[in-house]
Amino acid sequence: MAKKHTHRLGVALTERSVRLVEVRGLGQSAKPGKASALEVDVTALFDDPAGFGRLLREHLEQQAYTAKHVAVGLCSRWVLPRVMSVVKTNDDATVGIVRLRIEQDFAGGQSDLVFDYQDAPEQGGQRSLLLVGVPARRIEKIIEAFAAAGLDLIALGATALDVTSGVDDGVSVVLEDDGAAVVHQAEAKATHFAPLPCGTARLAAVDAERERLASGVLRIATTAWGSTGGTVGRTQLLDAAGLNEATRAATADAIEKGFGSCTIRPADAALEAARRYGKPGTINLIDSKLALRPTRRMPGYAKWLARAAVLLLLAGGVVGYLWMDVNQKRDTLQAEYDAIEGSAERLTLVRQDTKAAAGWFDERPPVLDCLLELTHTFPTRGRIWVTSLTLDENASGVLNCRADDEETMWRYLRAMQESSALTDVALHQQNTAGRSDSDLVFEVTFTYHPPTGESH
Amino acid sequence: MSSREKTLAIAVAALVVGVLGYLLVVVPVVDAFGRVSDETVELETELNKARVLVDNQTLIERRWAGYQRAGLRADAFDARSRTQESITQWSAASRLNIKHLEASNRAGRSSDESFEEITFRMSATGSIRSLQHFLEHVSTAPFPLRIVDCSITNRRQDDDDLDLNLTLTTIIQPNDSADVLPGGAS
Repeated sequence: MAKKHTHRLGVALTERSVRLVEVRGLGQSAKPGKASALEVDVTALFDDPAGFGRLLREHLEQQAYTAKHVAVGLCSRWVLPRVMSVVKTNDDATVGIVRLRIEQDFAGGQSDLVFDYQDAPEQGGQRSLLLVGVPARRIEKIIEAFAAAGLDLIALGATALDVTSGVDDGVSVVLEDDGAAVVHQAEAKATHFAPLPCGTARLAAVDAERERLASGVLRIATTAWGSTGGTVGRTQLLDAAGLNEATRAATADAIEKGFGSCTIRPADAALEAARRYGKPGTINLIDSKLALRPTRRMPGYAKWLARAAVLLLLAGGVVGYLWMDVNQKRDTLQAEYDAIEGSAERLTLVRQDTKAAAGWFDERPPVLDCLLELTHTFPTRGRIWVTSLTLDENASGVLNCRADDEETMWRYLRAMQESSALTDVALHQQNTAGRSDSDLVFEVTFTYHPPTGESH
Repeated sequence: MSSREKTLAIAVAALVVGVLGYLLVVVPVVDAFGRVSDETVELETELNKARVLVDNQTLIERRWAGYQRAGLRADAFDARSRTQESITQWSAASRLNIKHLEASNRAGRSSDESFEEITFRMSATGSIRSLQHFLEHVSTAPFPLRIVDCSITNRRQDDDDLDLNLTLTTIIQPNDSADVLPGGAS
């Protein structure tokens, strides 16, 4: 819901004057504050809105108005009223129907005229609407002029409808500074509204002007409304032009001749314009119910920002999902590990100690196997005897031997080298020894590798 | 601001936002993912090792229990006297003449620090058959015993007697291991 401005100016615009009043509050309870009137040629507004705006601004500053928002009532000369009957349907459909009818009835349609409507009493089972139109260019100029005056135009209606809101049913003759209007009300709603040319300034002095006004009112009442079968009801004169008592009385007398009676009521057009602001169903040409409301197009940068935001959100979602997933996986593994960690640590220690102790149990150095393998390599011919054998725990050995001759020694060495269990067989020393020159002493180094699977 | 200036400003702003986003968001996020991923891989490796151990718990404990039953002792004096007695018995049975048998007084730590070792040095004389029988006893000892060094020497060409020099070790289970290992020290 749009914000409603409680502190605002009510303005009644006629061709000759600008009437202003500052109000606080909303609706009929809005309290009027300072008020003033500016006698000026308002038609200049349409030629030089900026100039008119400056003039108005000076007046506002002089009068020390502080409100920045303004609700305006236009004189009847500037508005085009029209009564329209449409089938009863919902508001959206009604708006569509009224738009179509406007396009049919007015040459420029809604591009040249801005319309708004308010409900009138039903007639013949159909919904009856009272339309008010104003040329679009005029509205643009008015907006421009008030903007130049530093004011924000928040409502634009018709003074005649503003001042007759809430009055008794019947015919109301509204006197404005530059003319008059006739409004007929029934069931507390305006059923008809017609502007009436009138030299208001001359009403005081010229009887003919009063007579012309009275005959005009009677003509409108009988020709326009008589055809609808409506009743005239009470007749009242609403003075929004600030006439004196004698002029009002004389004018009412003139009108009484056609209607039998006519009561007189003063009217403050500016105050009523301010009070009607925000009232549901009333005419506001600035925020018309018939205005095409284009869907707001998002600016290009906003689209990119929105796309970027969506992408970021998606990316954030994906990253968040992945983060939860990897953390969940890690937590699951951690929980599983925690469950068996104690057993695993104990078993690791057991296995380490088992491995370390294996050298004293299952994996003892194969000394006997080594000795057996060495005896297998002894040659069957010639004489050879071992003088010493040394074996360490890594199964590396040193063999000191004595042989009858060199051939026997080489035969023994070949046999050792051919053994699959002996590696790194190397002859280190070779000397003649003993009583015979053919006797040899020699030293052989080797490494014993037991066949796989063979251990003590 | 001209259109070109506006474009330039937007490009610079996008660049700054991009760089800041990279430094303040992307880098920390990637680091965090890398850290968790490394932790997960490390955890998986540890878990697999632990699973292998737990899956083979029966085998590991049975082997250790076998060692326990095979005479892994916690008392150094007990282990020393048992080994010396066994060597003496085996040499007598093998008709090996012990000339010297000496046990180290102090138990030293094994190379992997798991156990304490007691070293025995002996020298003896006997025939090749006596040596063979004795070494068979040593190799099949029912308690932890290991030949560290073995030297067999023929003193004279015409003499069948051989000199045997042996260095042996046995191990004892230190008391601190007994607290965590199944079965404790026997």
